[in-house]
Amino acid sequence: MPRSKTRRSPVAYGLGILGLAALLAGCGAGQVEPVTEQGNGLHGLYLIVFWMGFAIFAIVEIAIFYMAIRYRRRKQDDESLPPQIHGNDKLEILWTTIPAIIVIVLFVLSWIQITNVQEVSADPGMRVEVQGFQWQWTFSYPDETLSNGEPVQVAGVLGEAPPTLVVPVDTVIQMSLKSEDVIHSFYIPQALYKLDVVPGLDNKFDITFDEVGRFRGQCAELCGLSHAQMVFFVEVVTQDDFRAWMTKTRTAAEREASGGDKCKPEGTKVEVAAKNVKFDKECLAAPAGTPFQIVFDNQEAIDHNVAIYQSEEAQPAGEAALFQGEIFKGPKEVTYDVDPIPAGKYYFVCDVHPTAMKGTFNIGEPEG
Amino acid sequence: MATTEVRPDLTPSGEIRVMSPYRAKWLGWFTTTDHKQIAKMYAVTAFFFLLVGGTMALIIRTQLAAPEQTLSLPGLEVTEQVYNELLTMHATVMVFLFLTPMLAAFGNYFVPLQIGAADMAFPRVNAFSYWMVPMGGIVLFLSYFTGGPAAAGWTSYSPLAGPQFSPGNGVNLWIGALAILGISSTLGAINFIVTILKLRAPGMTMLRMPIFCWNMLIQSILILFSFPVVTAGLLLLWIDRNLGGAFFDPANGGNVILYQHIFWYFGHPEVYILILPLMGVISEVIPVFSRKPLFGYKAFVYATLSIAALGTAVWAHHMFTTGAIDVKFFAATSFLISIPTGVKMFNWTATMYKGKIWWNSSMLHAIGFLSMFLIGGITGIFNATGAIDFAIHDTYFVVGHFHYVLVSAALFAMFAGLFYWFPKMTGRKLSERLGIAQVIILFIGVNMTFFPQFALGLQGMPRRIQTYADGLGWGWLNMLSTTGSFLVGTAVLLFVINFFWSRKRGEIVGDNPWDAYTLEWATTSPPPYYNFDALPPIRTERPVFDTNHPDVLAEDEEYDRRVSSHPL
Repeated sequence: MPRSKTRRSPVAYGLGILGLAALLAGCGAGQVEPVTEQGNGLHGLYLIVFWMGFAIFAIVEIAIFYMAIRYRRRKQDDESLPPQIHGNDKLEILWTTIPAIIVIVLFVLSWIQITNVQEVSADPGMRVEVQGFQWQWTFSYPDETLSNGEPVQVAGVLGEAPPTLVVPVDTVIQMSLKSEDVIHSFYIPQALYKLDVVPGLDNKFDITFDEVGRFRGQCAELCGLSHAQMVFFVEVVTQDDFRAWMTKTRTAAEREASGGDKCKPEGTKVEVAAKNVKFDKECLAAPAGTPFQIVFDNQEAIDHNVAIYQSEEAQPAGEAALFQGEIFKGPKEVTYDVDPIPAGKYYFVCDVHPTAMKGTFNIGEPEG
Repeated sequence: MATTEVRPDLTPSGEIRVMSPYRAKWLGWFTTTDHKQIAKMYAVTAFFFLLVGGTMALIIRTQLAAPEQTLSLPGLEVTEQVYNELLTMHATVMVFLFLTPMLAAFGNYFVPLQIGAADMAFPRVNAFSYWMVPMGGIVLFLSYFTGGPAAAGWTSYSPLAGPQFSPGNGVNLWIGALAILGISSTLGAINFIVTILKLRAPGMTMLRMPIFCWNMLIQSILILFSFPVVTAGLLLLWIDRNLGGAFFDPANGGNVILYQHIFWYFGHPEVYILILPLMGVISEVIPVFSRKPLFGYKAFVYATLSIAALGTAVWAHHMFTTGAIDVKFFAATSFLISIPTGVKMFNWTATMYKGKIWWNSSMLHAIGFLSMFLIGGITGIFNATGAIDFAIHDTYFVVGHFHYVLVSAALFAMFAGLFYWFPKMTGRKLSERLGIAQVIILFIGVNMTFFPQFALGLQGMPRRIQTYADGLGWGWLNMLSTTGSFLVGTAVLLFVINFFWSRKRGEIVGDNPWDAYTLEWATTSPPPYYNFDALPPIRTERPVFDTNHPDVLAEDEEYDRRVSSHPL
């Protein structure tokens, strides 16, 4: 390299580093803005480590390039050897001790933050159960139960828009992470935190959002084919908005649970199929007061039928059915003719497999 | 100098023999037990796999260059499945089939020469160790013909790699390949340990041994500690997959965290297994081209020993986010390991102080190593805190961090070593002009590739995702990274060109073109089959240099006395 250029290099290098530093300082040293109480502490630690690391980087990097350039062999140099220095014990002690002090300080600061984020409250403001599965998330609110005892849920469906977890601001939320298949990792970048969702473990952490907004999250542990699709959102809203959202969601969920919009009579022909000892529908519907037909497609070589009972307990209790279809082996399709039944909520089962094959049967327009 | 008129390494017409003269050339490749020949085979195999793994890396980078795309290459569409296969195979190839054999190549060639031995302690075991490497590679790549390779990441965490979620043969063959390669490394390690402990020439005390040999010794001890553990762990995974075991199956009382402990108990020392010999290379190159002895020889020995000792106690820092380990304990040990690593950095830098630094390709690569390893080391501190790791774990920050160590630093160190020792291995020098071009392109390339990854990780881009949504602001950083990766590829190709050109047409140099220090420079270039006709007296850590420069002998001997008489 030409000498005139190299001689200025350490200065240019130093200026470059300072410029970079100014640039980085302008944007949180590269890290995203934290939006949680715990995240603020972690970001503070990050900034300390960043600037300490940056100082060490600058000093050592400048030293390396300074030595390499300042002490390079020049054309006019003779063949004589430079001073043969083998080492210096005092320097060794110095550059062992100083880094040791630095890491002790950093360790103490880390200790404080680790303790802070790992603290799990016995009485959180709200609990959320996160279920990771291949390849989406389902969020449930165990404190908010429906009339059938099930918690309110936001379920993710693979291939559809990512699910949104709605939570109130300034509330200690305890996330409880569960997986039934492989390991996932629940990661909200702007919380500066992630925790693995491990089958067989019940991982919990507390999180307190301190600003409202919509924040992106994603699975951070390779979990198979569509790992990259495991995106979710967290919508942090005010307490009032949260209550309003919860009321709305609960109402919709109650309607869903009781058959809801999806299960209304549509003509006098009801279709249902059986496979793998399961009905393909959880809910059937037929008009009230008129005869109708059930087209039953038994797709396997196992005995099945369709029977309609007054209540869920009626079949096991041995009560008579309102209608009892003929039991037959598939694969075969049979059309049952059913006499008129008064409006109301009934149950249909397969008499051969009453525990595995059952569902709701709405006659007419059920209320609620 | 110990040369002789009889040159069994030359053909009658005076050309340099690549092979032992005692065997037919083609047969020799298969039957040789000569450590130098085996080393070359290791190096060629490793370099082949570098090109394979590198091509995979370029495909991965191109796939990620823009958001929401599925790259379509002739005959290859990078779907989610293909992407997961690529990331698994890329890492496996680079770790087990490129870096590990490349280091075995350096060790095989130069450990016996540097300690003044005629060969390794167990030449046939050595040949066996080598031949298991291509066998492992074949087993691994057979999976492409039996229903697709493993796609569960190079960590193959259970249950993802278990029978339910990774059916098919991919993971089985992956386990088989790693078992073969693990046994190869373990046998190699035993060979190095015995060679170094038992075959040193008279006068070559432990504290006169070149630092490269020290690093190979300590690396081999680490291999003995860690490889058998992972091989056993993988056997358990194999039993889970094929014999209905449930070691790592939570549905049947198994424990998935146990697998991670076993894997990282190997996996973290593995990082030091990969970097220690390269630190050894740097500790040879920097003093020779600074024209000074290594600053703080003993500090290097102690630092390397401390890194190895601590290296076996930091594994769970890969598991900070599992919620199943003591984060504080492993944060503490991870912090501690930065101290001996720092000591090495400072000593290398101090070695250049007041030197007369020879700016050639080898030394420039070594300076590149120092500069890059520093970034890799400092970004490691962020992970070591545990607390910051909660944010950056499994993001591109970590990808950037370990690629700075295992690509940026490792490639610079490897090339420093290759430029330094190529004249010893062939009698010719690699082209300096191509070498300088390579070092510049490599320096720009690695920084352009891996620096943006820190920013991506800090902004929350997880690793191992096939694509990412538009509008997250990740596109331009990924594009930058991809562009850089092609520069890295260019630098590697430049070396390949340089190698083939210089092998035939490189400048013919003497036995000791660098006026170097250690025993390998006391023999001819390339060395004869039996290595040495005669050895110079070994009274210090740099016997060849002292023979050639009697004026510094007294000074070196004085230092040698101090080193040997005092434990610290």
